[in-house]
Amino acid sequence: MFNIELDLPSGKKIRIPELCNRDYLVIIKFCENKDYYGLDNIFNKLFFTTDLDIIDRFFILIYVRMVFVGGELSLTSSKDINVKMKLGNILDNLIANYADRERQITHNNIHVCVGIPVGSYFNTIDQLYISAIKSVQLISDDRSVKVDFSTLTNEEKEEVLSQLPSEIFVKLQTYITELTNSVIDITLIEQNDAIGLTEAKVSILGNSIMYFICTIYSYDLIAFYETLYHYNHFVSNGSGDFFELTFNEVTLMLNMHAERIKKENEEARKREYK
Amino acid sequence: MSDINFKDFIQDLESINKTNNISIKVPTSSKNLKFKLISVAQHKELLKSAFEGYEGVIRSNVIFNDIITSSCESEYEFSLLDRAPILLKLREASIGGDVTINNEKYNIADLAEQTDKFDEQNVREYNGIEVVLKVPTLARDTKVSEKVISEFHKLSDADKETESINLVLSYEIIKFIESVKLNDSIFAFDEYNLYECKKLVDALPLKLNNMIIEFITSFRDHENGSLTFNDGTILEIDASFLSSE
Repeated sequence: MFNIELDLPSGKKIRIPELCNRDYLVIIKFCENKDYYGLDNIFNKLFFTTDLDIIDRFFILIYVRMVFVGGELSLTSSKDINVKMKLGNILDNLIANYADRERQITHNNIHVCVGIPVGSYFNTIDQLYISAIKSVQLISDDRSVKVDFSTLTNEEKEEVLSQLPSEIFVKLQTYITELTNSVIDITLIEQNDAIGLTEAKVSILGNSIMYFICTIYSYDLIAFYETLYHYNHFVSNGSGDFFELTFNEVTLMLNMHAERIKKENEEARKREYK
Repeated sequence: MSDINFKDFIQDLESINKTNNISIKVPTSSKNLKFKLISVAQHKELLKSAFEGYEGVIRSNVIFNDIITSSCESEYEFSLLDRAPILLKLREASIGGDVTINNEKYNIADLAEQTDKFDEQNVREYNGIEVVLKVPTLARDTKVSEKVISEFHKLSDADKETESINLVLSYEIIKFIESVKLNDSIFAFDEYNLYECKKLVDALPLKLNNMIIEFITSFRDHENGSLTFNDGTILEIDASFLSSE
């Protein structure tokens, strides 16, 4: 399967598979139902590794939307002016504002490394807190042992948490509060009073990211099926490859088809006049 | 630093935790019992309940009961009378005694230790119906609270607004009743399921219901005695109990 290497804001590299229409249809259905948990699960399955923080995940989802669905969003201002917004600007913003926020929380001989939360959707507030834990290390005079939190199952994480003293959770809460205050919210739309456009920002910590992603991946299901119908009927002649292609590719071919029909019509008209 | 398997890591963590305990005098026992300090898992469960509305308030009770019973290193049938004194000591030892209430700073160490016993008369009688009351055990409190949560799930959002207080009050009364005697028949609450107990409570005369509520209020006043600072401010045992802010 085709994939693309991507440099993430954190400095990690990842290979992203293309988003074919089969998977995009599943995503659209989750978006239409506002099922953020389901949406997060499908993204986890398609694109993410367990160690990616929320900013890297946001970056990947914007990138995938830009490359395989389309790179622009159309907005209508309060003065009824259509404005095109480039998703690439959000990616630049994420790279420019990324900073490493790792910190050590220590209680007696337990050392907990915390950082930007790992995950993209948090069902409950405690999930957000726990997802900030990167590793837990126990240091004694004769030995030091460490566990990488991203490699643990949910059950194993719970087992570790049930053994960690509450003092660590208090420090973790303080860390998350400081992180919320220090991590810059990402500006999605710049304010422009001349055309009646108000500024829109998304908070990096929390579920606003998934709400925004849902908005930009959302596509009218009927329009999607119409695209499928037009492609099968006019372009592929019923070959059934629609679901193996990306939405961008299908749009491109439908445009080529429309262009060809236009040319043929023009030539036919010219022949009529002659 | 070495990479070890998960099982070994947990064993190491458990051995560190062996020293993280505190001895607390249990009011209904003549002994001091050993308790493990509050864990991150317990703390986060409590935090989660803060965002669950009415249901969270009830669930936080269950979480506190669980903190006491699962942290105690001995088997003991705790009573609701033990709850506040044990939680205060556990809170102080786990994360310190500082608390902020209405923007004022307090310290748990400043709370007066409760010395008087709860000795409210426990038999109430009306029109030939005799009710024997008892401060419930934590196990009974948990069982009834879990039933309230499951009943709560059955309500629509609109009904939750109107029915929740009735529901909570009915089951609160059930917690405190040991038995109801009418003529020669005794209905011991422990021997019947909660549905049957609720049917009986719903059928009790209002006057008797009020007498039971007086007993419960009297217990709550007694409990609040150990939670009241010198200026009259009461430290609530709720989802914010483990927060110093």
